[in-house]
Amino acid sequence: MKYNIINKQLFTNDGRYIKTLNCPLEKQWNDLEEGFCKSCSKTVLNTSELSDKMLLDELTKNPETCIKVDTNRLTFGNYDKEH
Amino acid sequence: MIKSIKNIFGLKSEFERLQWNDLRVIRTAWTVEDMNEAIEKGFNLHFVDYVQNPKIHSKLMLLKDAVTGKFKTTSDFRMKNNGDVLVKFYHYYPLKTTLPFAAYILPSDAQAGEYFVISHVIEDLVEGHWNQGDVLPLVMCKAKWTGDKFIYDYDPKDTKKTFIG
Repeated sequence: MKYNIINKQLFTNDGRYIKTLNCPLEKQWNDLEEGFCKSCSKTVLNTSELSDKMLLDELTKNPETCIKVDTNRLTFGNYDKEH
Repeated sequence: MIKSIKNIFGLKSEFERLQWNDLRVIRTAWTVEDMNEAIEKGFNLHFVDYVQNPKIHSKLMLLKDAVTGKFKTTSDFRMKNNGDVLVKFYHYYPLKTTLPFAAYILPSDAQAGEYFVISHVIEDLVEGHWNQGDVLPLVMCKAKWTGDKFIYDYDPKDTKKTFIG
């Protein structure tokens, strides 16, 4: 996956926009209890075992899903969904 | 460590109690032209030294895309089979400016004690690590204006290995 650390937008490797990772509560994975966010009473989806397509499909169906992405999976760059 | 202890007791820091959208945004003037424009528009400038942090580190490769034939850069080792490699990976420092300083553009009514969002932090503080070796600088954070400097919501012990949102 591709990630723009400035605008926090996440894309598939072929450039399709997935989601903007901008938790307003600034949660970190260690803040959660086994992936459950008490503040929002929802489970944060761990994407480590999902392909780009599986993740895109999930976010298309449920755009409000919160996700966790490991940095070791990301390519960082100046990507933008507007272009 | 302190943040982790606070989390155990369910305590929130002064910054964590603030919503991003409730705060005014501070932009950064990286060039003298930016600084002049800000002054002309009635803003004040808060100058900060820009010093390279030897921990920050990036890499880059130039490819000719196998499908489109266009040149493109990538920082990902996994992309090396997606075209002809024109320039092999080299390591470099991701400079924000060639000046030894930059300035935060402050609204003229900024009050000491007010919290802001800094949209592009001047200092090269480490935000996270990539397992390909790159070390990423902190870009955006909340900050408190004391009247003569910003105190960032930043703990070097809390560098990220995941992103959530």
